Order: sequence, then structure tokens, then C-alpha cells
Amino acid sequence: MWHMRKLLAWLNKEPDLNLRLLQWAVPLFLAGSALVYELVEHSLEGGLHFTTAFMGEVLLFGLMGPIIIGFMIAWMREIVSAERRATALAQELNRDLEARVAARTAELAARNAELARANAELKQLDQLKSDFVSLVSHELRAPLTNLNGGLELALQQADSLPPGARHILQTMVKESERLTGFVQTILNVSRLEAGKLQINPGPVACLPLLQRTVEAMFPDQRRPVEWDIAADLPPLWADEVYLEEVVRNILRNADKYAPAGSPIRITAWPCDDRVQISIGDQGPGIPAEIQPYIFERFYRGQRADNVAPGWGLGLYFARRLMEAQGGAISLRSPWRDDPGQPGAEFTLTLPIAAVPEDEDDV
Amino acid sequence: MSDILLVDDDQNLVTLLGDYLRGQGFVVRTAANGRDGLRALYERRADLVVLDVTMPLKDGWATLKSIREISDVPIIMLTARGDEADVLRGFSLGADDYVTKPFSFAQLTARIRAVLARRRGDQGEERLTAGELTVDLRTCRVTRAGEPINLTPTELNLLTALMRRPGQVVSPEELVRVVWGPQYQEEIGYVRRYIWHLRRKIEPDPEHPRYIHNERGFGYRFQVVEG
Repeated sequence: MWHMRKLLAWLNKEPDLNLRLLQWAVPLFLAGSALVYELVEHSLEGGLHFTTAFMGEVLLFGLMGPIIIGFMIAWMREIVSAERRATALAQELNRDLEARVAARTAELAARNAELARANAELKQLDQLKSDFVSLVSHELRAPLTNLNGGLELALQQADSLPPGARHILQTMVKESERLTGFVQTILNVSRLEAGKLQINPGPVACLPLLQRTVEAMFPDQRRPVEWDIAADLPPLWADEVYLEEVVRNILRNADKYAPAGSPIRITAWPCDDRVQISIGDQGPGIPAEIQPYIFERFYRGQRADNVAPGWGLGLYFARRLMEAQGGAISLRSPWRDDPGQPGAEFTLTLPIAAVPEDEDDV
Repeated sequence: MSDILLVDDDQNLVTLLGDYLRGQGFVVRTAANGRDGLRALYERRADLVVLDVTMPLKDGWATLKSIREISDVPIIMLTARGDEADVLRGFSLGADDYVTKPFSFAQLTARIRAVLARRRGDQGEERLTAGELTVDLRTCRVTRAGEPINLTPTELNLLTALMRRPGQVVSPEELVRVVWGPQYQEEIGYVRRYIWHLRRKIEPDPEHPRYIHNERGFGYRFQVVEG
């Protein structure tokens, strides 16, 4: 048994070489055995005569049998070596594949590390931005409160102040209010960009919103307004508070740039399933070359007069607010035939609020 | 004359605001941080506390909690942010009102007067409740079974106009007048659309309203139907 196992182990180790040995050894052994057997058998039967029977048996058992067995072993050897070749090929392919996988894995790992680094950098930048915003929110707001408050306190005793000082203080109040508005816009923009500005949509009746905004902006009616609002205009679907903010922003711009006393024209018309609100002024207009950038962040239009102040966030904020409400803002300038006062017209487009399907009239 | 305790670590604010409020006829005491503020409150009660949120040693929220453990004095918070979460936190901890920096002194004075008046019971109405629906008129927050519902200011006006007259039929003409103003008398078409959207926000099942009911030919009636 021990020998058998050893033999098998040896066979397994070198199957091709061993089979080649067997291919010759086994037939030779069989041929020899058969020859000896036949010689002994026929000698015992009565002397060795090269009879036909003897020759036939020697041919059959001593030659044909071993040759057949030799061929069988050769055939087995062929099968085994084919199998070995296939295995070797498969192994080679596997090694190749493994090498390629390893290379790709290393590449991916490198890229992942790169991404992780970039991500960490972005997070750091984001953190810096948040820190900056909170710096603005606290470090700017607190002194602003005190500035506004100090001015209020001083103006409480306005009667006892010389007229010149009173005038200066009143100008400072206006400037302080402007700065406060600026800080508010920065905070709103950063909240919007951080996705923290919550849009609260609902139906908005157009006419009351526009009229009350105009009344709040121009309470003294120093700025005439021409109205052209479609009758039975359906309510829009928008955030009432932010839509009013956008309208106020555009009205403020119009008022800032248009000559004193020139009318602002406000129109509102349905257009398919949307409503378009347009606000046009009779100012110098916005040059065509800067129109593509007017809704970008920190862009400040260079007007011909270049005196009216602005902070380059208002229209950007307006665009972002409109987009957040599923609407859009666009500009047409010139929009009037008068080359002296070509004007700028901003158009807000917003969806119409869904209409009740049932005829549940009251 | 109302006694006001001003708690803020910003000495310039405390000085200026203190002078302003004294000029408005208030008695003003000041403290530079939450701990001193609490001590001042232990020494002598105040009619109202103005409390800054961002302070060293003991911040506004912690101070607010401590004050609420010993007193129900009206408190107005000065917050640096206008974040919804901050405001809600303030109210849940028992603040009476809040003002976001930067604010004007006149605005804060108006708030102080309003809170004091409310405490004296001049204005009783602070919230409207019907069924699971609650409208907090101070914060303009609407909740149903504790869950917040986002209404636009006009939707809120419409809802409160109806809730203030429970069980009564209110005509569309009247609703237009109350919510949008008399100049929009003709625009009763608004009402039907706004009501339809309002129902989709406040009704558990808008098809079978629990709160706002149609009275065909007359108007709308606010009434809780148990279902």
C-alpha cells in the first residue's frame, strides 16, 4: 500500500514524464511476460516447436496486446498533456488578470486618496466659508446694532443739535441702514447657497402683492407707476415673502437708475401655464456686453453715470430666489424706442398655481 | 415705570441701549453676563429681561433656563441669527419674544412695550386652537397635531380670519376685504383658489374637509368636524 501511494504521488508530480515511461515500460513488460509464458507453456506441452499456434499466441499476446496497450497509454498521455496545457494557459491568464486587477486597484486607490484629499480640502473651504458667515453674522451685526442705536439715541435729542449735525446724523442713519441691508443680503445669499433658505410656496395673488410693494417702496408717490395688469390673472405659485423681496429689489434698481419723476411700468400677463411680471424703467439701460453677467454674483453694472451705488448681490440673489421658486428672471434692454432713455425691463416668470378641478363654487 | 434688566456682554450696546430706554421712561439695570444677570434678578425682581444669546460664562439659552426655574418674568432674546431653529428653541425654552441683531432701538422698544402690555392682559389673543390645529399668532406658526404646516402670510391671514369666527359662515366678499383689503372687493375668485390650496395644506383629507366647510351660495364656515 505504501508503495502504491508513493507511486501515485510520483505519478501526480510528473504525469507527462511518467506516462511516457509507462507507455514503453508496460508494453515491453507485457511482451516479455507473454513471450516467457508462451515459451514455458509450449515447452511443458511437449517440446518447443514453432508451430502456427505458438506463433499465433506469441503474436497475439506478446505483440498485438502490448502495442494496443501502448497506444492506449499514449492516448491517455495526450489527454493528460492537453489538460495540463489548458490548466497552464488558464493559470497564465489568471496571473495576467490578477496583475491587471492589482494595477487597476492601485490606480483606483490612488484616485480615491486624491478624491479624499480634495474632499477634505473642500470641507475645509466650506468650513472657512461658514466661519466667515458666522463672523459676518456676529462681528458685523453687533457693531451695526450699536451704530444704529447710537444714531437713534443721538437723534432722540435732535432738537438740541445744530442743524448741520442733525443733517449729518440723518445721512449716517441712511448709510447705516444701507450697510445693514447689505449684511442681510450676504447672509441670505449664504443661507441660500448652503441650502438653508427654506422656500415656502403657496398661491400668490399678483395684483395685491405688486400694489402693496409699490406702496411700501414709494409711499410719497414721488415715483409714478403705470399699471398694465391682465384682468382675472390667476394666482401664481410662489413664495410670497421672497417674491416680494425680488420685486422690491427690481423696483429699487429701477428707482435708482431712472431719472427722477419718470414712470416705472409694471405689467403682468399670463403666458401658457405661467405668468410674466415685467418691471420697466426709463433709465439709461444696461449695455448689451454686460447683460450676460448681470445675474452673476458680485457683478456690478458699470452704468454711464456710474454714481448710483450697488453691491452686486441683489440681482444674483433675485435670480437664485426665482430659480428656487421654479421661476426665472430675464432682462430686456433697451425695451423702449427712445434712444435717450432706452430703459431696462426685468421680467419675472412664475408658474400659475394649480386650479381646483371640481366646480365646488361658493 | 417698568424695571428692565439688560443682560449683554457688549458694553457699548448696554450703555447705548440703557440710555435710550431710560430716555423712553424705563428704569434700566444692566449685567455683563448670564451669571451677573441671574444675581441681579435674585436681588430685585424686574418687569422684563432683555437677554443676549451669545455671552461668555453663561450663554443666553442657559440663563433663560435658569431664569425660568425661578421666575416667569417676560424675556426678550437678542439673537445674532434669524435662523428658524434658534427662534423655535427660544420659544420652547420660554422666551416671550426675540429680536435679531442688527435691530433698531425703536423696534426693540416697541417689542418691550408689546410684551409688557401682553403680560398686563391688554392683548389676550396669542393663539387660536381648533381640533388638532393650532395657530400661534406671535410666531405665525401653524401646527396640526404638533407637526408644523408651512403657510404663506396670506394663507395664514385667511386661516385666522376663518378661525376667529368658528361656526359662522363668512362670505367670500368679506374674506377678500379682510385678507387683501377693500380695494380688491371684486376679486372673490382669489378666495376659492386660496381655500383649495389651504385645504391641501391643513386638512388631513382635503376631499372631505374637517375644518373649512363650503356653504354653497353663502361662503365658508370654520368648524371642527370630529372624524
